[in-house]
Amino acid sequence: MIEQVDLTTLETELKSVAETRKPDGAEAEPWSVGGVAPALVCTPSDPESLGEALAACDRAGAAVVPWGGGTQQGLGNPPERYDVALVTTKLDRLIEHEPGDMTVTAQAGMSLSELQSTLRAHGQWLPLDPPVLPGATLGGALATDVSGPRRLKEGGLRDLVIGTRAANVDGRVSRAGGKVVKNVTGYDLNKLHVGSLGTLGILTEVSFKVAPLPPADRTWYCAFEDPKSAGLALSKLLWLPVSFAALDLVNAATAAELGLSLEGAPWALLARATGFGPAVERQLSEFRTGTEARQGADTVTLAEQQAEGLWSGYLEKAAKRRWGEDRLTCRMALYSAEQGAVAAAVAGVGEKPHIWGHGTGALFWSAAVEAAGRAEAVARLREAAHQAGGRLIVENRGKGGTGLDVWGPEEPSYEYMRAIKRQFDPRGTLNPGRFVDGI
Amino acid sequence: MQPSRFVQELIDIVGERNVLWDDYDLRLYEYDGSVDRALPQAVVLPESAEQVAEIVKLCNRASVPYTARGGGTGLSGGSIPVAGGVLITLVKMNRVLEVDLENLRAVVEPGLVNLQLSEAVAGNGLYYVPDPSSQKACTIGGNVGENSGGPHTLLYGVTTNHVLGVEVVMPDGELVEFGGKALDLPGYDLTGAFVGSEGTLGIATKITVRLVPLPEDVRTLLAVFNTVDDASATVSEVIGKGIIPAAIEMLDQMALQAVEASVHAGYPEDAAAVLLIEVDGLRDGLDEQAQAIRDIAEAHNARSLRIAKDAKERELLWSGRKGAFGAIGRISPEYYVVDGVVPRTKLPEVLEAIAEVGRQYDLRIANVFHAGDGNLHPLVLFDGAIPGELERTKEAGAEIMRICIRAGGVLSGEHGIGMEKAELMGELFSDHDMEVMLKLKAALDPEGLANPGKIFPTPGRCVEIPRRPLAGIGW
Repeated sequence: MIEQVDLTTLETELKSVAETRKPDGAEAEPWSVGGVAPALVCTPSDPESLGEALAACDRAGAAVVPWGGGTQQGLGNPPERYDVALVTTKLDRLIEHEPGDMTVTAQAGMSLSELQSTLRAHGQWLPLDPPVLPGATLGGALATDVSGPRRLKEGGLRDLVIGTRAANVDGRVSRAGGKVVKNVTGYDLNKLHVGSLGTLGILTEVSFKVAPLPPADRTWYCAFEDPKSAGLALSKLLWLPVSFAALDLVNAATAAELGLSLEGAPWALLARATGFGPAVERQLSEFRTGTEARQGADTVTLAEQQAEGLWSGYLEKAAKRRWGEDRLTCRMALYSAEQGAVAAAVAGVGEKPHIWGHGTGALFWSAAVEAAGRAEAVARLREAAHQAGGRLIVENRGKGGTGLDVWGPEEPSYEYMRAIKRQFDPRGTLNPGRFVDGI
Repeated sequence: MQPSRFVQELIDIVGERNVLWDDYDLRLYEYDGSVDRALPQAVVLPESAEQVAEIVKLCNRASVPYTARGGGTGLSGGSIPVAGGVLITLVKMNRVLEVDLENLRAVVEPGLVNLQLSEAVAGNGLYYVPDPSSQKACTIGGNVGENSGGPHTLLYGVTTNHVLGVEVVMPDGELVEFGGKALDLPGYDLTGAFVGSEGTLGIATKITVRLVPLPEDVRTLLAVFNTVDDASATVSEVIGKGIIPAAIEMLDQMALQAVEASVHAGYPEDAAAVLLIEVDGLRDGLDEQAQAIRDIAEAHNARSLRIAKDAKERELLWSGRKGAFGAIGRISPEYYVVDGVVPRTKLPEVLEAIAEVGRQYDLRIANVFHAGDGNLHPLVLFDGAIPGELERTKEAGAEIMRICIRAGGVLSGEHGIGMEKAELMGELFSDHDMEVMLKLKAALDPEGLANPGKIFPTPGRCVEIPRRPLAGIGW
């Protein structure tokens, strides 16, 4: 679609349905993605006008970047075209929360932290602890499939989401799933939106399963000389009938930022246990036994306050590394038992990298790398991931890192993904070029 | 009788012993566990993914619809070939291909019986979580198709939470893999979209699942109530207190009576409802949890409470639940299982409304269901020999579905829509909602030959069922 977009007409149309601005210069900067700024920023106040605005863009051939909190717009390729930022933050209402049902429905532009504080008042939470900056929205979290250490026990967004409403490029808002925790009624389009980077539609409302806040919550760690031993200890711990809330492998650089003393050891395993008191205590003893058997140092127990600060600091720093301008940050999707070996392999790439991984097999590598050296670093990291049967995604290309291969080599399944994209967004209006395979 | 050219081509792919085409054999495959039926024109039993791919390609060339089938235990007609054509029965592809202990994954073929996977890994202290009541007969492939659940999915999730990858013969005949052993791979979550698509987007030929360590210990409680409301209130409060049991099952009075007549599980026949509640996990703290549940049940007027003392008693308590559907056979010649889900706080009013449907349609309705997640299974008792009773039963089932929808629920929690409820989809979803869902179908199965007539209402509200051989094909 090379034809010129008639932005003047589009601006008039968008203004008739929603608050629309034409930012220029410095004002446009916060809305830019990969160095490209939009001509228009449109902020609808209800799902229907969001749909109408999207349809107007689609008709005009204008490319749209769906915009929640704008905290993770560095993900994916830079957009091929970008005319309009469609902002969801005015869709921020809580629709329904019946604590007895342990489900919640809210508009997609509500911030994750606001939802959490609403739920917390009822002794519940959305069991998701992603490394995101303040302002991240529910829709944005879903579209980026972001998760954190506690995915290990609580599941990821694909497990937590039970229903969605999304605006389609034809302007209509459609729904899938429902508000119940068990459901086989029609295609599970919710899953398609998870991690789709908004390339199929713009989420306007989401329903989640929620969980009770655990009565007990403890954290320990143990230093290791060798990441492979730590990885082995991790996979053996996963094999026990002990459902750890989190089991994270971190290198010394990451641990140092958290104020953990490893007494010179280069790696540590962090463990978190949640649930009823006696079970949590038992998990501590299992952790101690399991790490000792794999040459781990003595287990260090953190006080409750200290532990809370540790995890929030950990996520905050991870979020900053994911978006620091001078940094290159990659996420590897690995088999859980391969983490230690891959961590060892990638520790030698780059200068003083931060390496941290969750028990689920998500391993992160982040370092300050000059723009010229990033492609090579990515290639080396990707090779390590692929050799272990995993995959690698570049999360933060860093400033000037536009030419990087973010998603990696094409997979046979991408053909079907392209077919789905063509059905949902035939003109390539939504986030063109940002997803895998140029979707 | 000589095989037709088309049947001969099927024979060329899978061998003579793996194709059924005479009327007698076909009759055995015209039904599943539901109340509907339709006859295929041929049944094939492939032994490899490549054979499945060849069959699909042949069907494409001849424009013949095909339907995948596992154990045939489905309850919504998902594997009934409504539009005729080829029934692809996957029971011969039943191997456990790989058990990856290090990474807690198994790779299996679709025809593997659900329970056999758990049995295969039990020696390693692991199991496969979703445990439909038919787990001795249903296949993992069928579970993937219908996103099956089971009593123990409250805490641990259903099939979609445990299937991480699928190898699929796509409707274009190509073999492709979605997902895999690792989580959060790049691209759309096509594994997630495929699970629960009821065989309409392709045929799974290999399935990668999560294995979970067997709980160290378990406590099973049976609580007896004089009112359904007290039982429901107990469920809500247990969960509200932050205790998420592995299972909370409810049986109402009619179900209790049937069970007692059949398995003698020690359920009191004059009670209004019993709850079977199970907590599992680490031994530490389990007794405290069981005690907390006990206190809650007592506060809600439980008239008796029993905690299984040992594995044998636990088995006995569960035998009543697991054998409940079969036990209904003692008190009725036939029954129709309805599957619906409502928010759990709506259970009391919904159960009352279902009882009213029974009175209105003059049919007995027993309830055996997953109370913890609001997944109802009203069993409508009927006698197919009485003219009009099956029709009345189906109407009562549809009415129950409407009750679920009005309560904010959905049409199926674990059995799927299949052919049974396709016409009800329009009462839950708008035409536009369904149009958007069908974009997925159009993207992956543009010819529409993969299990036609399922999930979505057919235009004109009536499926064209070919009584005679399909045009252009000699059967």
